[in-house]
Amino acid sequence: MNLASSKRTPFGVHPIQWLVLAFVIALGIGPLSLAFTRLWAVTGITPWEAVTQVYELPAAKDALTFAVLEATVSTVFTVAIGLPLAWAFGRYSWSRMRLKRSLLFLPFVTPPIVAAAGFLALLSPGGIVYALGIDLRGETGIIGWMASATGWEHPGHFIALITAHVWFNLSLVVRFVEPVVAQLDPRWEEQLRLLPAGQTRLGRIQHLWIPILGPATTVAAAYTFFFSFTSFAMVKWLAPASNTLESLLGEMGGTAGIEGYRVEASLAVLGIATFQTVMMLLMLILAGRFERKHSQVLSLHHEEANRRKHGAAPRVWSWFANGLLIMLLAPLVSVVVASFRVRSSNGATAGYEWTFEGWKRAWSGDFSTVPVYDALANSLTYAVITLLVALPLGYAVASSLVTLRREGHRRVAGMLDSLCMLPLSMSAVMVGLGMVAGILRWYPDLFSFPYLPVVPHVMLVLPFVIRLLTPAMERIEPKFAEQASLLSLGPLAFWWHSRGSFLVVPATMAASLCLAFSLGEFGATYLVVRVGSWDSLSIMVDQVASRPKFDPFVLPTAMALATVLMVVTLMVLTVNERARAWRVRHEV
Amino acid sequence: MRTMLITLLLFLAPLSGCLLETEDDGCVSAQGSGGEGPLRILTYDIAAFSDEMLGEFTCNTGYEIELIYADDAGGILELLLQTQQAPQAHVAIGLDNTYLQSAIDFGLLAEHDVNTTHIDPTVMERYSGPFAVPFDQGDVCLNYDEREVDGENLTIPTSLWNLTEPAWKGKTVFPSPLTSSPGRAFMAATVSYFENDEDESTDAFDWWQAMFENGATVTTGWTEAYEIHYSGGYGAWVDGHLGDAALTVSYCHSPGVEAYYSGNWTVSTSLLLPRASFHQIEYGGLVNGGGNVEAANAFLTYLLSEEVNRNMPVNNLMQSVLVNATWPESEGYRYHTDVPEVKADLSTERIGAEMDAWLLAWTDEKNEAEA
Amino acid sequence: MRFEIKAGTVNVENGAIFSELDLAVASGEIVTILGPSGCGKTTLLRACCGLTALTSGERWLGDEALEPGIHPDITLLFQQPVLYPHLNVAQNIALGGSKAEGKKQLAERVNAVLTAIGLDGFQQRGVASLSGGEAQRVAFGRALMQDPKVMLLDEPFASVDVARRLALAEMTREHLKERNITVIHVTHDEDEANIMSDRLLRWSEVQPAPPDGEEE
Repeated sequence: MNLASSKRTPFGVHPIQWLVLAFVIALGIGPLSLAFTRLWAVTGITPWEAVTQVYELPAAKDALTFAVLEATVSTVFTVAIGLPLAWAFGRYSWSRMRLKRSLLFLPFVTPPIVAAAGFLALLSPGGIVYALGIDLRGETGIIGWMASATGWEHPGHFIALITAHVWFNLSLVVRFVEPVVAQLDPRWEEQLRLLPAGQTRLGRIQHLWIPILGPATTVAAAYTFFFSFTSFAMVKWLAPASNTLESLLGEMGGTAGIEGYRVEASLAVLGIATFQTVMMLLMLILAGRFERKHSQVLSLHHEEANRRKHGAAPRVWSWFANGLLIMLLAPLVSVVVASFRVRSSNGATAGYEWTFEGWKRAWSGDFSTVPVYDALANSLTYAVITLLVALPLGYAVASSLVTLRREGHRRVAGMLDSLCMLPLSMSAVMVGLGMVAGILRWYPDLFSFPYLPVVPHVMLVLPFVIRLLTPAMERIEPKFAEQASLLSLGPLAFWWHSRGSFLVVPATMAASLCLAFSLGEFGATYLVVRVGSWDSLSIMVDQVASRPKFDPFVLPTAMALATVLMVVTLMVLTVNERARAWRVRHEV
Repeated sequence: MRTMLITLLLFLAPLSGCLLETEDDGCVSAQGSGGEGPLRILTYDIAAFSDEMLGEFTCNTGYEIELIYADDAGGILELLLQTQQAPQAHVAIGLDNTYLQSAIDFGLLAEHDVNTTHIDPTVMERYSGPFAVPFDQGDVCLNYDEREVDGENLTIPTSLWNLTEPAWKGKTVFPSPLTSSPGRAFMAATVSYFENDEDESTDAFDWWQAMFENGATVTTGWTEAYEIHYSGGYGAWVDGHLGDAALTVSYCHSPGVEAYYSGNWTVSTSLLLPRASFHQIEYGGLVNGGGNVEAANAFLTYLLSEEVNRNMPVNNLMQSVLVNATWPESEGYRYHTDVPEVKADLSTERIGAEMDAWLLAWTDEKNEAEA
Repeated sequence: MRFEIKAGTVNVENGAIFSELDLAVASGEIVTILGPSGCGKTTLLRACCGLTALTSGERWLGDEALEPGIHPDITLLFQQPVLYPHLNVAQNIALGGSKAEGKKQLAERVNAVLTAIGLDGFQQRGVASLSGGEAQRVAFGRALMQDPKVMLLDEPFASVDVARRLALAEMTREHLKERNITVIHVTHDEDEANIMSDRLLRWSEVQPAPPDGEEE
């Protein structure tokens, strides 16, 4: 293996890798560009004109205002709760940490319809929140008093929505901040304690924790804002009187891009989608800048040694963290409970009965819905194919970016990195729009491609894969390749010892993320043709849950399906956590 | 690891109990539909398609069935439009008479080969062309909660203008005509209603404007309006129920359905004002370019068969299109079903021609009210 | 086998690390180059083994002028031992074996090397648990497995504690001499240099003109 001369092409990257880069970028921006082109053609006006026209619509303005407001409030509360949680998780040693982390991440990959059903169960009469005297749904009692005292129209709905967003995004804060806390060289803190500035807790917060955790927290806050801003199903179910830009898009998306039909809908979609895309792009660039700054590294220290040093969490922290986890589980537990419970109404009264009927129907399916194991098989098939496509593509892209940076072309690498991250700036509805109004409108034969849902899944998952593999590759010291070149190793062995073995863990994490996202993905897949026999489990949950509920078994059946989905997702996430723990133990 | 395996096993164990028993069912064996594959039916969540009904069709004819779901009748039209270059379904079931003309004008449907002589001629009057067959019907009208509209809290409206009075502020909910077929049907009815009322200076859209200013709630679909907002229906038992509306758009026979499912008890009833109801007919048709023509025609024929179509009230919660169709007696279904005397007077052609303009006008009023 | 570098030059952006450097090492000879940190010793070794390309000049192994790049008969022991964390001690050492070797033969050789370097019984140990000296011995053992004709040692005992450093140096010299390996050894430690070398050179002798550039 000859390392001395590595320049086969300009920039040092192999032509095939350039092709892959081009493909990945095209996959990211292609569908949406096609959609915009299509909408432009159908409406006859440019995206910018559409923005100005749509901006005059009160519905759009209201939606924007509401989205900004709820996203800001959600972010503030998420960080306020998530930061102490991340700090506690990172500092102390906890029992059953893997399970706790998996549970923490579960909300993030739960299909929104399942989460919404869980929250509604908690908030409605018969739910725990209602039982505590807080009626967030009907807004009676103390909430009603708040409404009339402040003139605020739907405080209960707003609070419910914020709570759901915090629930959803908490894991982001932990994911970004906890590793920083856990791996911080303890000498930094020790040194500060010896200095006047570090004598008080406030001083240490000011001079150590804020500077250290600031970048990671900012990144997490940016992503939280982004996900809350593009909230769709939660808004639809928990705050029905309000809209975000995303929910407006979702309602009209299916109508858009059809020549000569409901052109005003195409116009509205063009304007809203353009505006939202630009906003998201700006947020993404800002978040990306912060993240790059954040990943310029602190002196990393061995996590396990740190945890051992600080020991188990003090009682207050323990109650806080465990209590929070229990609360996080509450909506999901209520989903499981709802799968065994059916309402029996008899005229003016209604009660609940316990039954397995929902599960029986889920198992056997009917003509409208395939049996759950078929839907699960569909879901797993899509998930595995997503993985098999996204992982190699992500590896190739990460490898190119690392090579470019090592060869000194940081700007080019940065630019390409941002381009690859573009799908992150697209909400699920926009990805779906890109598929429907973009790809499928230009190439309608793709409708009959049974693995079509894999395309939006790969699009959404690739940025995460690249994000996981790139820093892992960058961390591999060149000396391993140099040493390997001095040994008589074949090409595959050379690759394995100099790079492959170091990527097993991040690749496993990327793989389980691919699987988890694909299993729960709903928004983009939803807009693609839903042929019954191809239905994924998450689509089927939505389908069954959306049926008119004069049949009381509709909800238990939907919740049984949702439970299966959650359990499988949890198992996949546990694999992710095992891999992470292995990495920590072996310092790889 | 062990825990995971045990969980997985526990999960899969019930599967062993669910292996379907094979019966000697006396059915026709699967047709050599060969390259055509199963019959793909594009529909929305019509309850008529029960297991038994679909199973019987397959058993009798040998044609396998696959269902493709859209959200609503509007969704069916959109899906047909989206996939016009590469049709995915063979037959479309559920376009109603507010959507049918658009579907025909866009060339989305192909000529069928189904016998329609046994269908009620008054139904066939609406549309008797070769592109679609009616399979059920119903009257869309306003429903209200008798406990709220009891003459004390709220009086029973004698005109739609009553709903724009302060007492009704925020107490009405309407599914959007942009996305819901009952919503669209009712909006069409208001056009006819206001064309025929005494006041010639106002039209339907003036009324809609007043309604929006009076806090009328608009939802995407019928389900959301009826289950979440309407206080008089089964939604009261559904998680997330708000019950903030005393009046909504549904069917004149919806109170009958409520009674049927609740042991002859309901608090919901219909508001029968002349021309404030719309006679909705739902159609099935072959998808143009879809193929599998034989199976598609067979299915439509089956839908119109005596034993299936007569049972529409119970299976599909709509009325049959056959001659002498009646509502069932049991559990107060017929008793609580209201029958409007004077319905909205709009031809299918006129609806086809003017619907786009009506939708624009409706949307404009809504936007103005929000400004 | 004799190893020679003729008129070797390595240039970087701001000048040369070394230029017109001549160095000849007889077969089986251990030459130690003594010099301060940053003078260019590491770059010299990297150029000798082909990891860094010579800007001009030639390398000779025996009677053969070498092409640029890595040569299977020349190996380098890095200053910080490079052991693969996913492999245990035995597996790391086995990496030095040739592809043609059978498993059994390889295992026997690995065990023999471990015994020779005083790490008998360390086969299954994870490399993260090794001390600095142990790690460097494993790296050395792996290099021995390669059966090289030329071995380049870049301050090999820098990561070993002082007490063991000299003992390790003696052991290393013994093995190198036993196998008649031609060695270029660089260090800044005089005691180590005295133990290891057959011939001791100062950097100023090897590279008379002061270089313009800094060592990478």
